[in-house]
Amino acid sequence: MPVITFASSKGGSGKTTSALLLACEIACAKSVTLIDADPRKPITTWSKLPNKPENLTVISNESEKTILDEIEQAAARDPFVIVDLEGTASRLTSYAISQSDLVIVTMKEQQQDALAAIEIIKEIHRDMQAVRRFIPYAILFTQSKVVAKSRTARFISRQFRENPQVDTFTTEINERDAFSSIFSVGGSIRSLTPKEVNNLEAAINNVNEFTAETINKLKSNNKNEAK
Amino acid sequence: MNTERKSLNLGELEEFSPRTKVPLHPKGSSKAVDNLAAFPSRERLDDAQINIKAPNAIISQFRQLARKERYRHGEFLEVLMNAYEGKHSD
Repeated sequence: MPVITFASSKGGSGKTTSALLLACEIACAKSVTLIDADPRKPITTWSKLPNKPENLTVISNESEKTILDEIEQAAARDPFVIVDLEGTASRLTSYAISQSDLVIVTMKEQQQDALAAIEIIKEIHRDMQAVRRFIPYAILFTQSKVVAKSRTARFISRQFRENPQVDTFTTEINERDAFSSIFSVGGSIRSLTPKEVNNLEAAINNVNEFTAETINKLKSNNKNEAK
Repeated sequence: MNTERKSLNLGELEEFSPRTKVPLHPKGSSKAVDNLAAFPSRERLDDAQINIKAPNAIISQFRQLARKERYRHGEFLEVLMNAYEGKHSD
């Protein structure tokens, strides 16, 4: 049932990588449709490489006019629908957000990404007004350093983490060799070998934690809706 | 290496299943988003124009109905065509 949308009005914020990691991980257990709504079609390109998980269907978005139907058809077919959006402030983004059960706003710990995240949060609130329901969202820090974070990175993430009005993932998607390599070799991080990439075990743990936290957010949203 | 490893507790995902009930986007939700969204359309328009000859009363009725629902004429034509096709698909 859940439609999970990855959004940021800025390119390079980690939407595609995070969306693909989550989709492949959930596909270990449940059917997932991943809608590639980025005009560069990075997920569609990845899907043509070997070792795509069987449970994962990749749909290439046609246009902003078709996105609502694409989401609806996927949601009727698979329990999980994940939408990877383009990195621009576009109406297509608004349409996808309006249909989401969780919007994951990705950002690097940088000023430009933070501004883009705020822009998306404002749009989410406008879309809530449009569809007259609460649309849960959370900030996900991506490409973060595991050790020795810069002062700027700490300053930016702290502003979001300490804001009680903004939900923020505890887990961060770290900058890892395994995450970028799946786009060149295909498959998920589980089809990689330790010989191919550094620190594979840590990368897998990172994705586990991110997936578990996402599922927990969805479950707690379900409970809140039921109340 | 770890292709057989299942990280997730499968039972945890049991409550998630495909949607079976109401349509995800009720009719008019895209229009509601259009009215409030600040993000603009980034797609190229592929608009064309036609000149419709019809009795005055029909043209007036068309304009009035479109105005009442705040549709542009092109959008309202699409609504009418969808309704027409819906009748025939029953």
